[in-house]
Amino acid sequence: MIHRQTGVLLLIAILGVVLFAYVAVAQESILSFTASPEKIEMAPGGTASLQLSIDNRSLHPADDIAVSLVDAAGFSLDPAEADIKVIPPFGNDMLDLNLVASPDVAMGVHDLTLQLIYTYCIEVSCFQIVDEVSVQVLVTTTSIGPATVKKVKSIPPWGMLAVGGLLLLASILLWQYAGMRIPLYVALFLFVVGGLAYGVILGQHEQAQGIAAVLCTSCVGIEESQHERPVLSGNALTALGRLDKDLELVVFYAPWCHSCPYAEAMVEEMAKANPHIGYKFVNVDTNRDMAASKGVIRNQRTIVPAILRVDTGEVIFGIEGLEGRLLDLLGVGA
Amino acid sequence: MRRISQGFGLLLGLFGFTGIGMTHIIFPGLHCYACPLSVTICPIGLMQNLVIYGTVPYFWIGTIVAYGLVLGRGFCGWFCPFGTLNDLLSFNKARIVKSFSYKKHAVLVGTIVAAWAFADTMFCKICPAASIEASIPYLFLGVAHVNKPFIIHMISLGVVLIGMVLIARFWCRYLCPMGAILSLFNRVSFLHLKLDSNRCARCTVCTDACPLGLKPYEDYDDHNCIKCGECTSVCSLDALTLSFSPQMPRLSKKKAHVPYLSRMDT
Repeated sequence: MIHRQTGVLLLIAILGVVLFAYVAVAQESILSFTASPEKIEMAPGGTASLQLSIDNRSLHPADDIAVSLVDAAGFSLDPAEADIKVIPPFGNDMLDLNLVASPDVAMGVHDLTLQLIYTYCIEVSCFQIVDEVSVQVLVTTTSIGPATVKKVKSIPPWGMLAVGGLLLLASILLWQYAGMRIPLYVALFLFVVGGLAYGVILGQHEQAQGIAAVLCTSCVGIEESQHERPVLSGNALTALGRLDKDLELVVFYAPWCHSCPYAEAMVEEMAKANPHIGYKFVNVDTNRDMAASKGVIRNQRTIVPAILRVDTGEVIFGIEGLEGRLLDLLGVGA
Repeated sequence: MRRISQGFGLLLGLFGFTGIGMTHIIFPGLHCYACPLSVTICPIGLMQNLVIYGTVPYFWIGTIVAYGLVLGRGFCGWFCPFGTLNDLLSFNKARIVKSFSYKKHAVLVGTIVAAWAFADTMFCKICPAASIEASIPYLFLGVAHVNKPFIIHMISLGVVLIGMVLIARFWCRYLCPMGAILSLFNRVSFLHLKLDSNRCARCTVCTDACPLGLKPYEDYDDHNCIKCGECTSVCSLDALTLSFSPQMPRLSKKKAHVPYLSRMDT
């Protein structure tokens, strides 16, 4: 018989694996992509039409879907970067692209990758998701049959975890009922080696480092996130009226940062109130070096939201008492 | 030896003073990655983010299983800086309430569910390690302010500190989600406690020394055991030893019996 304590821990372990698998399955497939036509053949210097059908299979809208071609020497997209503003829940949209081969492209089969970046929001929490569609293209001067354009089939993201979970379960049962310890150690060793190797192949170590290196002020409870659009006070409007020279602000944000939309909206409102204020938004996930060079960093942590006044290099962080601090940054505070 | 190891854990936790930025290393304990001096990734913070992102956490699993396989909860006793703080405040080595000790597993499951349900790192907002390592430092760095989240952090920290003073290793016993994860590996980890039942006199001196309030002479492979070795150092009969090797499995736990002193009597 399984000892009571071991039984409880085993149950917790199984529940944990099931929970992780469920979470992974439940949130993995947000958009699905289908490239058509399925069969393409093109000559050097030629152009081929490519239609991308995008299905939103989730309860929430997907925003700012941008498609680009990455690491594809000899090929380009026309337009180079295509995008769709929004696909509503359970909606569908099409994107017509032209794949252009340069005259000196090598003959044969080429594996191209279309990168799709989109933003997915659940209530006020938004995440930037990067997906890829592999496209196989045959470049030839003679017609030897159609090339195939397809989404590459790969192992489902939760597939290996499910196999690992079954392996672990079997090895635990062998341990408990047959007294065999070797299978359990082998299974755990496979978890270590397989998990680390496959995780690194998928770039999860970089993802982990990126998550830890950027500090969102509301995420660890440094301040409360605000979900309503800010309204400037009368005093702020008066103070902004005193600003009579052009200056530029840069708002550093992360797509998943809960406080950032409030900071962005505050700057937008001030810019509306006084046209001397110019502004732009910079995503620190993709511009970490720029954030570091502009001083949007404290002890190796990139902190968001952060607002930089370009001409003075002054930076303010977070959204606590933002109106007053932003007016001080603009030099028109009380 | 353990103090040196704990000092090393603290040093690694604060290695950011050298100017090294964030690395790819997941910390084998509870240590906030938002800490201005942290160079490692908090496993619980990362876990929540991966749940929010819907990422199947292969890298996280590989790392955590490696930690579990090597030391299990030994990291709590030998490495974790927050465990070290628990140690420093261990004045009352009360007996553990076993049924309450599963609360930390409930905290773990709750942390995952809350991250998924709210798409936010909810545990971090009340984590006492974050209170010490992020809220307070960022207050002095001018990034944090005394506001509602800060007060919540301080209340959480205060409650846990009081708990630590009243009950040794209070956080590690009942609440730590990282301890809950590592406890799953306690019976297979290479570092483990061994009991020679032929030597044991059941004198309970080991129980008096155990910061977790366990009974090492009975439950020497208990999932709560942090393998600190306090019981081994007080056992004059050398019945308890810390060993580093694969553990022998058993079909069912046998209580220690035929005590040494009883055999001497016969």
